[in-house]
Order: sequence, then structure tokens, then C-alpha cells
Amino acid sequence: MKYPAAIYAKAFLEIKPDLKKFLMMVDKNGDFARIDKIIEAIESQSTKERGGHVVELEMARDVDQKLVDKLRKKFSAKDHIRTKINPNLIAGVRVTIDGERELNQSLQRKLTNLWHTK
Amino acid sequence: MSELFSALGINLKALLIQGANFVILLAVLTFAVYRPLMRIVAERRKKIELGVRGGEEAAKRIAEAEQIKGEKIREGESQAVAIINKGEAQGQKRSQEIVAGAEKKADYIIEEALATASKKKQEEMEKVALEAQALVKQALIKTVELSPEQIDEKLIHKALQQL
Repeated sequence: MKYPAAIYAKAFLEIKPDLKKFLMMVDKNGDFARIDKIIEAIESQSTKERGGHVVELEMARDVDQKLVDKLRKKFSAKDHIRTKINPNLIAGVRVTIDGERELNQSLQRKLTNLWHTK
Repeated sequence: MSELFSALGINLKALLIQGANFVILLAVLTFAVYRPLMRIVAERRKKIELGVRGGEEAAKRIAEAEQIKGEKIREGESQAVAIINKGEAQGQKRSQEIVAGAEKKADYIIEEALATASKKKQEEMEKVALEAQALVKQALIKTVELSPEQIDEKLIHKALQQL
């Protein structure tokens, strides 16, 4: 990796280059394998710039879209919402805001709490 | 005078000759026998006196030696008793130290063994707990897989209430 994802994101948001040229530049630097991380960094930085939060909704499997929409409605239009499938959660949802605050309503957490409660 | 001797039947001439013979014999005996004999006797006496004195000296020295020997024996005995007492005291002290050391070591070994046993027990319990957790988790996963929607819905609703 030649440059960290945050540097690419900063460069992209400041210069706002043509997307094709940007992708070619990433590929030329040998960082194309990490394009997902770079896109995530761009999303995060642009969300922060407009005063929003990056919200990550992790679920054990694909759940009813109505439930996901209910969760989405809890956040503002400025926020960027990502959804992920994480089978390790067993069931339920884990909500992370800006990678710092977390609301964990997964069965995995409940089990962990159970093991560590004496 | 000669008439008197003749009247007494003594021959004066023969008497003189006998007298001269006696003097000569006395002189010869004095020089040849008496004096050497007296010298030998004197030497003998001297030797005996020396021997007696030497014997007395020897006896005195023997007595002194006996006294010194007695003193030395007593001194040696007292020293030996002191050495034995010291050795006994040192031996007792050393044996006490050895016993104390052995007891300390034994205590340490017992403590170590107890700690090791406790640690092993703890490890075993942790292992059993982990296995139990894995089994419970697997059982829960299987249960959840039977009707995952209901559980997901319930948990998501809880999350919605908290958001």
C-alpha cells in the first residue's frame, strides 16, 4: 500500500477529479486491491464534512426490509448508513456510529454478557 | 743395754733387722696397696654418690614429668571437653538450621504443589467452561436457525427503542 485510504479520500474530496482518472491513479499506485477501504474513507469524510455521521448496521443475515427502513429512519438525511452481514452476531443487530459509539443488540453480545456475569 | 736384751733373750741385731723389714714392708704396702686401694675406694664412693645424686635427680625429674603429664592430661581433658561441647553446640545449631531449611523447602514445595494443582484445576474449569459455552452457543445457533426472523425482529425492536 503506497498511501493510506484517508489520504486518497482527502485528495478525492479536495481535488474532486474525474472518477476514471482517480481509479487509474489508485491502480497505478498499486492500491486498487483496497478500493473498498478507499471508497469507505471517501464516504466517511464526505459525511463528516456535511455534518453527518457514518452509521453501520450489522446484522446476522438479511432481515425484513421494513425493519431495516425503521432503523434507517432513526437517523438524519445527512448520515451515511452502511449495512453489513455478520453471521458471528448469530441474531439481532449491532449499530456503530462513527466507529466509536456502539449499540449492540445481538445474540452474540447477550451470550458474552451471560458468560461474563457471575 | 745389750745385756738387758741378752737377758731378755732378744737379739738386738735381729730386732733391728726385723724392724727395718717391717718399715720397708709398711712402706711397700702403703705405696703399692693401701694408697691405690684407697684411691679406688674414693673413686667408687664418688661414683656411687654421683649415681645416688643422679638417681635422686632422675626421680625428681620423673616426679616433675609426672606432675606435668598430669597437668597436661587434665588440660587436654578440659580442652577435649570444651571441643566436644563446642562441637555438640555447633552440631546442634547446624542440625537445627538443616531441619529449619528442610521444613522451609518442604513448605515451599507444598505451596508450589498446591499452587500448581489450583492452577491446573482452574485451567480445567476454564476449559470445561469454554466447551460448555461452545456447546450452548451451538445449541442456540441451531435454535435460532429454526426461526431466525422472530429473534431478529425482537432484538431489532429493542435496538429501535434504545436509539
